[in-house]
Amino acid sequence: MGPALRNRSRPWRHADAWQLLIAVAGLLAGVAVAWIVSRAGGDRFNGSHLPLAVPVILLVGWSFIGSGLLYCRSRPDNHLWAVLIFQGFAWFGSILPSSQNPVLFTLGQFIYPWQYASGLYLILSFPSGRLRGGLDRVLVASTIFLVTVGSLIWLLFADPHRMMCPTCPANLLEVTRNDAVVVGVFYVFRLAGIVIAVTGIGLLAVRWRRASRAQRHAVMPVAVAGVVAFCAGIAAFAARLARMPGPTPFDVLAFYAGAAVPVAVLAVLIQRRLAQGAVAGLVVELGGPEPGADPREALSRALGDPSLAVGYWFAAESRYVDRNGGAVELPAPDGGRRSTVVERAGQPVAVLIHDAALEHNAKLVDSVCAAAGLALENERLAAELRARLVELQASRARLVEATDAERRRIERDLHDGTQQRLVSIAMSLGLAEARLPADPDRAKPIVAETRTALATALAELRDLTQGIYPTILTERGLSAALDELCSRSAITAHLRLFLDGRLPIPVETAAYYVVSEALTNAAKHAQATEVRVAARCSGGILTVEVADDGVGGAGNGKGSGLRGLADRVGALDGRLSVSSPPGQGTTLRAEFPCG
Amino acid sequence: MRVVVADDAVILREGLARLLREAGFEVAGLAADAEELLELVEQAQPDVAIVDIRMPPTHTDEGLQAAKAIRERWPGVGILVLSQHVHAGYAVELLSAGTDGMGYLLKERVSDLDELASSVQRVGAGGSVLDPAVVSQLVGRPTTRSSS
Repeated sequence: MGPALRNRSRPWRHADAWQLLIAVAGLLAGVAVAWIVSRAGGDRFNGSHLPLAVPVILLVGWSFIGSGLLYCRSRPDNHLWAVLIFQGFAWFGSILPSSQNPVLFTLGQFIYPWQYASGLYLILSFPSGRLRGGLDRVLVASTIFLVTVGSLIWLLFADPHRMMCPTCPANLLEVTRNDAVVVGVFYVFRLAGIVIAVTGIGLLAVRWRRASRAQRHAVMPVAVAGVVAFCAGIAAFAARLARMPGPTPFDVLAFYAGAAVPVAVLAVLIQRRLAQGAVAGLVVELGGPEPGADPREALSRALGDPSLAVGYWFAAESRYVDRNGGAVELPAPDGGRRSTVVERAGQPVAVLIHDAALEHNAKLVDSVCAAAGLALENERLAAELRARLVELQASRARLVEATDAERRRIERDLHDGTQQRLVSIAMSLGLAEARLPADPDRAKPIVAETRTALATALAELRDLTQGIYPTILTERGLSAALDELCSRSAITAHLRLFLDGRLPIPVETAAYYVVSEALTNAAKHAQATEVRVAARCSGGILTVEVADDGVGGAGNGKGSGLRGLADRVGALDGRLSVSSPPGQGTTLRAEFPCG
Repeated sequence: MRVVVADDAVILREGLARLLREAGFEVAGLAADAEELLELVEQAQPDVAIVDIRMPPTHTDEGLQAAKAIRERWPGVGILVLSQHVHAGYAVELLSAGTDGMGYLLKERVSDLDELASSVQRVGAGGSVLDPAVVSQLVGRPTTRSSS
């Protein structure tokens, strides 16, 4: 309640002041232009009658300025608002040549072509406000160049009074009359205009083909209006180049076609407002009586993005999972997909993976996230449960696999080692037996050799059984077993024990293997020189930690050894964590309930 | 009588060779895997090849496959397969290619020099040898598979 109230009664800001100023200036400019046009008899330029000229002029100008202000309030980071406001004033300025006042007439001649430059920028950059390609920039830059140079030359050399219309006021900036230069500029300007408009249509077409559905949805009205305006502009310029007596009907067409652009921009803004209204529907839908329904469907409808994917936060593993507990990958930042995290009480609940086009409608996404929070939290709990189940099944399968692999290893060790040694001993005995009756002296060394072989076989067998299960663990407990493990370690191991008496056998075994694996890794992979091993049982939790000073960079997902350990620890409701920043050693930490 | 021995474990290969020499056989060569064995048989043309059933690379039944290959290419060479386990199925598979000059013996039998010598002699002379443990497993089979 509190924050919302504070938000509503926020103090008057600097930004509000100048936005108000722009709005007032826009209103005044509109009124002034309307007055000029009606005084000129509803004509734009001499002789051509434009039905509804005043309402259309006001609608276009005010639409541009109004959309610009709306944009500025909702997306101040997107500088499209500045382009829209500029376009609105340039539009009003382009009407000034209709004035009979020489000052306004001359000013209007200067301002008039600028609407082409900002209009082109607007159509090409909508809705991001950024030009995307090199060709876009070249097009806009050459338009600005043409507009500047063209209007300057016109102002310096044109004598409209004698050249075009006898009723026109004088060009106040005219230095000297030069009809040839003015006509040349006139041709270049219109020829270039046609080339630019055709290229613009091509760019829009290419962009349309590559756009996703949501992107098309977001830009369609402006793209259509843009193509219409380009076509009308081409026709009007072409008619003038073909020396049709002006003003031609195509000028009239271009005038109305240009009016379609701000209307389209407004349409997009209204469409977004309506989409935010759909959020109310979403709240009803998600709170509805169907608890098993997938929130993705409703969210996808509310956002207008059929490709929407939802990932639910799996807190235990700090990653996102889908509805069935499968892994969800977040999109790469440079692709066509974006992700928005939904939070409740500062905790992530879910992530929406949506089309990048929705970036331009952050308000809608925010409202949808806010509305869907509770439903997503419920779904998250269910998804987390399923993810745990998936994880459980996978770990069970891995345990079975690990058991089989272990059996295979033991079988191989027995076959390649002990069994062969025993066979060879049997052979030696056979040999000795064969020699004994005839030549006991030759049999003697063979018997000695056999005894040595038997000792070796026994030692191997002892190592093997020790590897199958550490007998010291069952006989003397975890403290003694860790002590022996550390004293046998290939690198220096410092052991600190805070253990009292015996713990449950499965916990002792798992803890033993955590330390054993960590010591092996530290010696084999981490290039460590020293390891610190600590085991502490307090508050019903056994914590085992092994920290080395090696190269680090060991991953949690990598290596079947760590995976197997995590399974072993997980099976006892414990947690295994690996911290291994490159260059800063590896710390393996396992926690088990041991009460 | 000329024999060759194939076993991937050097300790058994050499031990067996020593025993065979002691028993009066001429050991014409030793091989560590099936491929070496086939080359050796081709070169040395022994009377008997003594083959360990489990050899690299897969450590399953390479010896058995090598035995069959020898039987196919050099039918005159007697083959004595040694195994650490009693696999009646392997024995049947081996002998189904013809019982003449074929033998299947558990490895531990080689400690009895007389038995080893007589088995090699018999196989070399075109007879056949089947380990008693395999025989009892075959006879004692509770059910026989029938193909219908």
